Amino acid sequence: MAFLEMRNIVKSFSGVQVLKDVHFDLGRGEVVALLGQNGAGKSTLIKILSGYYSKDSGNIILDGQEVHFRSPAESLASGIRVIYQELEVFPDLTVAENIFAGSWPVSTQGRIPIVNRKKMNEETRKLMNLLGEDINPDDLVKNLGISEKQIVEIARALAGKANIIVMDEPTAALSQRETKRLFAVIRRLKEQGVGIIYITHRLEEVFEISDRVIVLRDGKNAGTFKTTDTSWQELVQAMIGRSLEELYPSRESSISLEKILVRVEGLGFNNFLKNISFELHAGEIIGFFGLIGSGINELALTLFGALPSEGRVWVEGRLTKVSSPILTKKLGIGFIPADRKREGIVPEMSVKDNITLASLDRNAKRGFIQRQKETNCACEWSDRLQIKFSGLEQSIKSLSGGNQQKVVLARWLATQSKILVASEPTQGVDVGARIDIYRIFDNLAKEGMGIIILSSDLPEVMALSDTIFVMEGGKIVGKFSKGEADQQRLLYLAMGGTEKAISHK
Amino acid sequence: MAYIGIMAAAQTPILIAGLMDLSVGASAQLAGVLVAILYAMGWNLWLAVMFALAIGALVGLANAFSITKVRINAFIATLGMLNVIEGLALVLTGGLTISILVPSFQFIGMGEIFGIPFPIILMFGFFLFFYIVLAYTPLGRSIYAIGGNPVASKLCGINNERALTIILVLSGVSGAMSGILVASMLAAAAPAALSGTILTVIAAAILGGTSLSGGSGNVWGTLLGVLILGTLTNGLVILNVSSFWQEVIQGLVLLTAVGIDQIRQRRRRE
Repeated sequence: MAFLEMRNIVKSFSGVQVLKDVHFDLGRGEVVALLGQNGAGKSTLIKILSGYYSKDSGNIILDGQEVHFRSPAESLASGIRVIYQELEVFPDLTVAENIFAGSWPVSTQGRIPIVNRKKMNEETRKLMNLLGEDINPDDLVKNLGISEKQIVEIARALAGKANIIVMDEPTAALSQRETKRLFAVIRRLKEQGVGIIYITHRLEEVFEISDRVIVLRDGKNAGTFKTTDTSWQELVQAMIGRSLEELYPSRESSISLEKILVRVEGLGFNNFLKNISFELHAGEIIGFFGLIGSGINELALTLFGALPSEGRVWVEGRLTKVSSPILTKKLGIGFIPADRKREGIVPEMSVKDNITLASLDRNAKRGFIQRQKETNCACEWSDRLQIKFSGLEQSIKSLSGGNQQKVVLARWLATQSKILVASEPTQGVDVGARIDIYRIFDNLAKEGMGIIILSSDLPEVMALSDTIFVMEGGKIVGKFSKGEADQQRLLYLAMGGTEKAISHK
Repeated sequence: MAYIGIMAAAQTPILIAGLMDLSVGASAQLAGVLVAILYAMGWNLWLAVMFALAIGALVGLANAFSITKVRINAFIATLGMLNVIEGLALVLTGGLTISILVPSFQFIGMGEIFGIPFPIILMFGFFLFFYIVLAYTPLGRSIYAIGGNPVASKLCGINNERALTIILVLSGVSGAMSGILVASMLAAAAPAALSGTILTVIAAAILGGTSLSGGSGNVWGTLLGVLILGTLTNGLVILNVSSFWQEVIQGLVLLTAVGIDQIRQRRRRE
């Protein structure tokens, strides 16, 4: 019997089911890769396992006993440890102090407890031995590399008697050599009987390190595979499933090739973006497809001037700087940020004030806001986008995600933008509003707007875009025009696969 | 109470933007001292007043520089500025009180128009001004947006730094105006006359419903807060409560106001 079993897990957030009857199991010393597109429910499932969320229904059986985690502490006490991408280490403490954080061995002599440094360092060396590593217990953690910090976290998990370690995209920031090192550590963990849940977007790693693969799609199980018996085609197919035809409008291209709205050459930003070049025509929708961490979000922010950049940008034929949102707004560029809550809405404000926030000067005369003009403007756009609300003065917070997103969209349409940069335009948006937003994009393109969509939602990018760019590691790794793209190839490229490997398999 | 009101009116947009200007009371002190000294040196009185107001603006500009460019936390930046200016006022006067005996200057603090004391008219003017700024101008709307979600407002192409600079400069000028008002009322400038007023100023705004965490509030609430605190102080004086105990009570009022604000915030989040 499996060491950990999660059965029929159901979880809803404000009425939307994000997990539907999900099963998951893991044996001792087994590595199970948890695979799925963004929004498939992976992180929700892990948060239930780690006690951050409570499940609506279903059972979690650990070592033959049913468990109910009411808090992260309870999950931790049962030997489940999650290692997140943002490592949770104390940079100014030593390796040993980090590993035993919170339960430092204490000498028992005397009344005042004193940390027994000698014993702590000895135990640390033993743990490092188990993992096949030799990191000095006395080193300060801030002086270590990322992969070594990761190993410190793994050692901490072992010190806390963890039987199950969840690794959330552990290799995202690692070089190839560091990845090899991590995998060596994982193999040692298997020998210790530790079960590992491995979350990644990189298929090659799945084949290298996992024993089994469990795929989620739209909050449901989409298949369980023995790694040795499956192929990347099969896994990608399971992740994609059948596309929801009715969700996407069949678009007819409305590009006017003679009118170039934006030309970008060699755009870069630190290590996050490298040498991005493309052209956007009037009436065109360009889609950038990439997974989380691929650089699409950085590209969106760079194009709107919210991040510093190098390279050259022409807007409507004029070489220009995109150094601040104040400037890009004047150039007629609108922006829908990826994280609506953090970057999009102003929660204290009303629907109306949120809609008109980017066009305050447009609705003002001699320095004063024309209340009537402002209200008319908000009315017009909320009407045209069919935003559902009870009144313009209603608080934006009480709207659904989809309607909030329409408000953000209305905000930029009210500025008469000619170019729209939309990052993850349908994230956290319900199906109904999603269809609306697609239709709106289609109409805007017909009216001559140029739209750049940056999204990790593959079917969305494929259905909407006239031209598709695939991004991985901050670079463009593929360019397709509408007809020639197929889902499997795009996803494979986005997961770090190469064209060569495709033709081999 | 009018001088508190002027400072509180200017503090309201700053709190709405999610900042705090602790240096405003010190600016007031410096302004009074400057007028007195410059007049004693033989300057034209009104030129000295203008100069003091300009220095107030300069203090606001310096605050804006530390906050928006160097990115020092507003609390610390203006606390540091408070010390600097208070120190300067002491250096300039050697800690002594300087009298200003000019009848026309007395009008600011003691005059009346149609039987209404001029300080009240002045204070009301400041409230009206900040009301119009907050409710009817793009700047005002930007202030609410910055306080509510600075990232979103930046991504709306709003010039956060410019908006913050303007209100900090206005706060410096308002502080200077308060100081001039007090100097006129007392017919003298004392370098330490206004230390501690900043707490009353912030308490008034918070009592009036402006949130310490930014994003909401309005000047009429602040006016109400000023009136409540003014009544309280007057009441305590009439009841013959010692001024030491008045300090204690004022501190408690501030803590209560902030406590209520916190509870309100938590409720709203749930």
